[in-house]
Amino acid sequence: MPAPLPTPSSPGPAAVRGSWKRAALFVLGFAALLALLGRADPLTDVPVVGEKLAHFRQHVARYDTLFIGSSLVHRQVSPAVYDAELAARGLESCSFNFGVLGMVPPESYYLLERILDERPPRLRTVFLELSSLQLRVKREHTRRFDYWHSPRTTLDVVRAIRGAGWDRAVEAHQVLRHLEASLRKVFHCGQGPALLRTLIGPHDPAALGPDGDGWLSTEDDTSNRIELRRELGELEEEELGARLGALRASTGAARREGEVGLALLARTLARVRAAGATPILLVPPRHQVRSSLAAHVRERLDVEILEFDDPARYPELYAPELRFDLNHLNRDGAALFSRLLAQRFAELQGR
Amino acid sequence: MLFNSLHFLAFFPVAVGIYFLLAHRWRWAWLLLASYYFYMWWRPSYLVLLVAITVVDYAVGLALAGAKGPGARRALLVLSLLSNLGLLGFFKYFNFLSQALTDACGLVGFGYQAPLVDVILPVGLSFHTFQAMAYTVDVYRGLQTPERHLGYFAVYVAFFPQLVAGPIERAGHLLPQFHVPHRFEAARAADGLRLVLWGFFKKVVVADRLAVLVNEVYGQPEAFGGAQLLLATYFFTYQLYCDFSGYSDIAVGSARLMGFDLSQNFARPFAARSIAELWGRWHISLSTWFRDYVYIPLGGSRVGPGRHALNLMIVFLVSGLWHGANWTFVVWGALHGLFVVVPLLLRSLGLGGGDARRAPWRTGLSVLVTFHLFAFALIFFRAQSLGEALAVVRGIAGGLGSGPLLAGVTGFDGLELAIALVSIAVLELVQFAGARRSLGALVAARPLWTRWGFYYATLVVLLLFGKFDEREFIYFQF
Repeated sequence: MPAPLPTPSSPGPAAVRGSWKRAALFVLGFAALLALLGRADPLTDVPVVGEKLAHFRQHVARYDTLFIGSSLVHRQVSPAVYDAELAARGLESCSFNFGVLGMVPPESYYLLERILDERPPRLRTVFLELSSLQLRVKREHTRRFDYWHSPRTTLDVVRAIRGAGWDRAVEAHQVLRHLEASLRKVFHCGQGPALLRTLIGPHDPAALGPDGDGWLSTEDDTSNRIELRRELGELEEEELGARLGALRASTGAARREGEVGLALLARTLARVRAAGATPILLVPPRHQVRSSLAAHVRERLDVEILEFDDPARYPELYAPELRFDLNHLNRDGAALFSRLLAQRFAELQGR
Repeated sequence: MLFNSLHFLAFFPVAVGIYFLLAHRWRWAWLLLASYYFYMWWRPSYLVLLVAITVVDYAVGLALAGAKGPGARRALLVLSLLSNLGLLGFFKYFNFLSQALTDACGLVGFGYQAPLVDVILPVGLSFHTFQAMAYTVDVYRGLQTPERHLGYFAVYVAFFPQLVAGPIERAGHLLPQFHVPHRFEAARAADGLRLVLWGFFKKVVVADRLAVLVNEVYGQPEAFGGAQLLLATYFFTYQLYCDFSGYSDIAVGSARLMGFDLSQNFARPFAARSIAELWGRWHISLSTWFRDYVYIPLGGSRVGPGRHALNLMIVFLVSGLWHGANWTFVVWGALHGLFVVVPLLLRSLGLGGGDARRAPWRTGLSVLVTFHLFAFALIFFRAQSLGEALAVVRGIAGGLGSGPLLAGVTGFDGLELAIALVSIAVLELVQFAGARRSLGALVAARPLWTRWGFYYATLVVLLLFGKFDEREFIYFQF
């Protein structure tokens, strides 16, 4: 047995208490520092979201109408056409397209809250794309995945996952991924370069589209992904007519939003109303079998829902020559949809 | 488990907290459980290897204490060496040797295909086998009392802070520390945390940032010009240093938090004036292992100049092979051998050498040349094959070209380059400042608000400028 080493003398209780007190103070100070950094986080490194948010901050007093949602909004709603159509009907409007590819709840709810945090003084109408809560992890380890994981949103997601009835292992895996993203957000992991970029350089104006109002039609997007999509779209052209025909003939699919999803939506709508604006849920034209989601939400929540996903009611939005690919309208299709949307809104206003 | 993972962030406070809450007589059991859990996070089934190494070397140690004749003692030592090296040989070198045999047969026109095995190298195997072997050799030599408590010995082999990438600890240094009850000491804990923080800075701010450019350029060296290849080589030199010394700092700091002292593994290696000196500052626990268990048994320097040179070449070739079963590592080891042996032979012939300390400019020049020799050898360390390494050398030798420095590099722009260069400058400045007195001691001597300001600043820089994609430590593969 080796000879025992001398043991250190033990510190007194007062010294131990002092150590713990200092440690607690240090942690509190650090938490305050993180909170300060959180307020400074401009989200500028989140693709498209960052550019649109930065533009909106600069022109916060300009816009009275916002469109928020996925590519079905980003690609298909032209604020310029929408405003012009309303102007022709005697309604003044200055709108901005806050659509982002693949953005569904809870990301869209989070972004909407960040927008409302800017207190836009003229905001009157918010069109929010109606979509189910997306719980499965996508784009893991990307800033796009992390940025909306505020502690509150993360808790909401975890609650929704717990109630989704998934396999326990899948549930644990998904919860863990969301918690990791939340920690990365809270601790601002890797955000230094983005903050520096904010200080030294202007934003990429291309993300705002050719009109500078957030709309980027499928034809105007020159990124590689879209080039590829265009080729695929051309290949699918023959098939397109047949698929759209089948869609017209479909009778719809049963779909309901979970209780957590409904509660989050209700909270978001309340936040919009508290900001002095009217929320309107939007179901854009899309190549999916019609679902009963809108009917379910209408049953449970007091909110206006404008639906454009019915090929029988809007056959012109499903004409093959107005489609870029199976999922999206082309530039002309987007213009048509924007006019129809403005007309429906005007009808709601009694014009 | 990776130090730079959220799992470790959750695991470590629990491991340390429970360690201090337990009575001393149960702490070894908790440390063993925590260490095995740490190891099993990677591949649970390979725990059996760790247990096998532990049981064999524990039994051999006890048997050596009871063995009478030199023959029996030698047989026991051979048993330990064979079992440790056998494991290492099977998992690490079997396919390499098989392929070499197949290639050799092909060269003489004999179409023999040696068998290959489909196994994954257990993480850190070279580290814990070397640590366990050192124990039996020391017991054999009478330098170490055999450990009778299997639990303490098992923790010595598997102690989680240094389990997968060292420092390779000697039994005489680490084993007695498990026998001693450690109390939680705030000053010691703060010292450990400072080291952990510094280790994380090296890993996630410097090493993992440089890795982005290095991986891209070394991934397809023929696609890049001399300037990019040279930059990637310089960056890899710092990446490797920060990755490995960062791991060592986190390991030493974590252990210190629990009251344990681990060996220093790095001492400003890029301030070395020769490759021989550099090896006294780089991966010190491995260098001294090779010195004590290979170099000195071969005769060391107490032989003729020719044999001395041969001993050095053998040590560096074995060291190269220790790092990896690939001809690139053999060449890397051979180059280091040559960098040490050639000046030695020149000095023995009365050529070159001299006292480099006489003039500062000569010292500076020696440091610069040493750094470049080290970086040059690392081309072979980093490349996947000799062909790739030669492509890098040819690319650099072909000139730097006139295009932009980051031409063709994606995911690493001018801002990232600036952050990388600033972080390297900070690293060197801190190391320079800490050369005479450790940074920890320098900070600890400051008033509270200065200390806290320093800690907050370091934490914020670490969080904002770190890469948190849980990239593995390079030395895990060895």
